[in-house]
Amino acid sequence: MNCLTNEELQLFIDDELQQSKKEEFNLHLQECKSCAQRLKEQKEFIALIRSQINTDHPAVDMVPPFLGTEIKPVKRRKINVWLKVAAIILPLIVFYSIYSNREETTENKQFTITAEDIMQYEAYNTNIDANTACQQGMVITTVIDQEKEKVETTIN
Amino acid sequence: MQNFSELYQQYYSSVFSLSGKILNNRDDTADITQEVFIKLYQEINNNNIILYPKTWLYKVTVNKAINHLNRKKEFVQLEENDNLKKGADDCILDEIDQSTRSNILNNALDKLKPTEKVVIILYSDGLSYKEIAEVSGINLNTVGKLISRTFEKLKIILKDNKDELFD
Repeated sequence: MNCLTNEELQLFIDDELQQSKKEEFNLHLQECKSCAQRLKEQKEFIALIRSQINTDHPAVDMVPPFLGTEIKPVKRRKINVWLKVAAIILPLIVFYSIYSNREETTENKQFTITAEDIMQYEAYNTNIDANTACQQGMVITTVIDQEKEKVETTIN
Repeated sequence: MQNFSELYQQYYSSVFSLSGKILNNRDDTADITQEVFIKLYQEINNNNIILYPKTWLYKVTVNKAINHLNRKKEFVQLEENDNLKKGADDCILDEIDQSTRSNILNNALDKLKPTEKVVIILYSDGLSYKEIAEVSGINLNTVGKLISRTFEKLKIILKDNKDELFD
C-alpha cells in the first residue's frame, strides 16, 4: 500500500479509523520506516502543542461569584398612543406657527417704509417734485398700503 | 428545572480556560465568560432545557469568542501552497525556553483563521471529533482533515516565526 497521507496519519493517531483501515495502516507502519518516523514526530508535535496551550491557559482555581443577575435588562417603556400623536402633531404646530410668523413679518416689512424705499419710489415717479423735500426739510410721498390704496407718508 | 449555580460552579473554569485560549487576553476572556453565563442564566430562567450543558457552553463560548476576534482584528491569510510542504518535518519548539515558546505559539495561533484556531484548541482540550464538530459547527467528516491541515500550517508558521526570532 501507499504511504499514509497527513490526514490518514492524524486519523490513525486519534483512533478515528474503521477497524479494517486501522489494521491495514498498522501493518504498513511496521514495514515503512518513513511513515513510522512521521507518526512519531506528529505525536510529539501534538503533545508539545497540547501541553503548551494548556500550560499557557490553566483552569482557574477560584470561581468568582456570578454578577450577571445584577445586570437587569432595560425595560422597554410602552409609549402612550396620545404621546405618539402629540409627537407627530406638536412639530407640525411649531412648524406652522414659525412659518406663518415669518410670512407676517414679511408682509409687515413690505409696508415699513424706509428712506431707501422712498428714494426708489421717487426715482420711478416723475410726478414728485424733487425740490419739496429740500424746501420743507422732509420727504412727502405716497405709497400703496395693504388695501392697495395710496397713502401719503412723510419722513423728516 | 436546571440549577444555574451548579452549572456555573461546574463549568466556569472550563469556559474561562477555553475562552482564554481563543482570545489570549485576560480582560476579553473575563467579559466573554461573563456573557456566556448570562446567556445560560437567561436560558434557564426562560425554562429552556439544555440537554448537554458542556457542549452548549463550549458552543456559545466559541461563537462569542470568534465574533469577538472577528471584530477585533484581521487575520493573516496564509497561502496554502508549496509552503505547506516545506519544513514540516522540523520539530520547532523543542529547544526554546518556556516563555519564548509560549510567545511564539500564541503568535502562531493568532495567525490561523478563527475556525482553525478553535479546532486546534478544542482538540488540545481533549474533545472528540464528534464534540469538535458539534461545538465548532463544522462537518464531522472534515474534522480530521482540518486538524491535519491546520497542524501542517501551524508548523510552517512556527518555523517562520522562529526564523524571524533568531535571524
